[in-house]
Amino acid sequence: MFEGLIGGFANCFDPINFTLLFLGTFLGLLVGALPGLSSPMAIIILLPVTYSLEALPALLVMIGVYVGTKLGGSFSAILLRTPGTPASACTAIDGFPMAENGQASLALGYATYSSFFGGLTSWIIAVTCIPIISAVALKSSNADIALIGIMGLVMVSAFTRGSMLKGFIGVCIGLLIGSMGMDKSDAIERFTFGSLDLLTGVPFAAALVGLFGFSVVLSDLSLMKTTSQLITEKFKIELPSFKDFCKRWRAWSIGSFFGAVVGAIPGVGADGATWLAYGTVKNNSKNPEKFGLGEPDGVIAPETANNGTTGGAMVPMLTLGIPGDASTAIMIGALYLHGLQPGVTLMKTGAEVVYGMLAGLLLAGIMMFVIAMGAIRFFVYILRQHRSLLFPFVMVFATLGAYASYNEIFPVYAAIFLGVFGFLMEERGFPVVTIVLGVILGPIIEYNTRIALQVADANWLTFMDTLPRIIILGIIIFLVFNEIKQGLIREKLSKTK
Amino acid sequence: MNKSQKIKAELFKDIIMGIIILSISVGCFFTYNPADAPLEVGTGGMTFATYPLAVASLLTILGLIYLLSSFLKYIKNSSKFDLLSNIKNAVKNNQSLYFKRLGSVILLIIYARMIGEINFFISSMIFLFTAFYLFERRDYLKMSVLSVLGSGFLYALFIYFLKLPI
Repeated sequence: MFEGLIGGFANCFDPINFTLLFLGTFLGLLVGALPGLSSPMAIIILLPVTYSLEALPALLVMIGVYVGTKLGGSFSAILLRTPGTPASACTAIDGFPMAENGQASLALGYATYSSFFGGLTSWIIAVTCIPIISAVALKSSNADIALIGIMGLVMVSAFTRGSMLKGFIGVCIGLLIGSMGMDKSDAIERFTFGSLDLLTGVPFAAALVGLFGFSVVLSDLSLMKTTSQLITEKFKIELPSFKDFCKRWRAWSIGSFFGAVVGAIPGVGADGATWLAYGTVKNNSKNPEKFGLGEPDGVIAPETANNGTTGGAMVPMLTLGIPGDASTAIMIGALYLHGLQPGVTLMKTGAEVVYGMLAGLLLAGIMMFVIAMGAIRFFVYILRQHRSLLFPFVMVFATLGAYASYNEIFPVYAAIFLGVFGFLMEERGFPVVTIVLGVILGPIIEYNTRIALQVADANWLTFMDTLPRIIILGIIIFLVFNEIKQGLIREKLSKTK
Repeated sequence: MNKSQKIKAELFKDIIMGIIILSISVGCFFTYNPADAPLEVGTGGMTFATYPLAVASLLTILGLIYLLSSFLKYIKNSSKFDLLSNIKNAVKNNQSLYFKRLGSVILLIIYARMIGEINFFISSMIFLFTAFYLFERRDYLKMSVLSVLGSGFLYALFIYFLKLPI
């Protein structure tokens, strides 16, 4: 493991890779600070830029963006009370009152310190867990892989915001989109509607650009007229003393724990982790009444949790091919676009990339800290710019992301169609990440199910042959029934109200 | 519009979405096999149709549950709901937003068409300027400078530096 990690760091210190990681982190901080633009959107913007790069440099840019957006979101949350990303909403509760009380610089310092610390803790957890889980996962057979894929879909449907019903509907639509084109086993057309363009299926880049790019632009056009009023014009990042930070060990340890653990659960993402951490710290505080009025622990807990999810989300992504959140879903897509097969075999076939990504994750955390300290004024300047100048450029990058994947117009049309569809789904509360996950995992599940059944001579009981398979099936059944039960309870409660 | 009427309007939208989902799932049963290939069961007991039909069946069930639950909630809500006046109000209140959304989609389609037909630099310049205009910027000098410089940057980045075949 250490050899691989050292190799990963060596790759990251290659001048080009290092520069790309730095630029990615810078862009991440910038985009994260802008309300309405989140990490998946930033990664989509960079998609066309990564086409001409090798797999590792391309993924390093994405990791930089992923890490940078986490902290960037807190800048606007603290200074504007408008979170740059959904996960930063929690930081605004105490960050903004701190700024109102004349402690904007200190609030930014707590956020920066906590983000760095959360990222560092979850990185340690990720590098410890990934080789162990990978070693076990490598022994998986086709039936195991199919079951793990189904479990991933069920988990994301269960844990994403909104109801599991909406999550499942999104997954099913994604699975159907993923099954379009020529069937890999029998070479027979499915859902091609007589179109030659659809013979190879819906281009993956088009699905990503449409569902995470165009749909977000269409949704965020409603923010076009909002202007950013800063709480203060005079600010810099003022780091708290190390002693003071250590005194608040409860907040950062709870935040780090929730970040790493919740980040590793597919579908929950940073939003859930930050609120859980905030709630737990507040409930365990000796002075819960101070929360909401500018309590530093109220900034530390969500910010450590927010960046803590970066390492956590890498664990299922790199070991099982199941994304922890929307950004890692796009990174899985990027692995495909660069000819790598995400999943249990990734550690075997692309170990260099895996270790490079892990090394990049730590370096991006350090870069995030350094860039934030030096360039906070620049980010805030950008934050005050009108979005009408920004969105046209976002649209150009997204269009190129789809176009350059095949060098044809068809993926752009597909992306526009999926963008409108994704926007309508999001408006009705269907999480589009479930659609993307269906597109990613669908072909893997189908292929492995068919192979497993061929090996077992069409015996479906092969999916209950071993203890791990029974456990995975148990988890799937438990999640489904638990969610049905919760839904019925919610229904009862709404009736009594 | 009071709160109850708003809820009813949202439920109506849910019903429309339910119908769309159901239409997609039912449509799958008629479109999964465009080449009319025979359904020969392979050694594993599955055909090319097993997976999409299983997913389409599941989606039909889920779509029906979603549609029925939305419909029942809609029926139970006793407030008045006038579809036409609701649409009129929504258009009246959000005219600019709807125009921007529709305009963005049309602009993107035209831009995609233009990239394939004319020079990338020119098509991007036209797109950027028009998009700035669509998003209600009227500072023409700034718009022009940004369109030209932005397209130039994109051209240099993608064509010269990254050598993408655009």
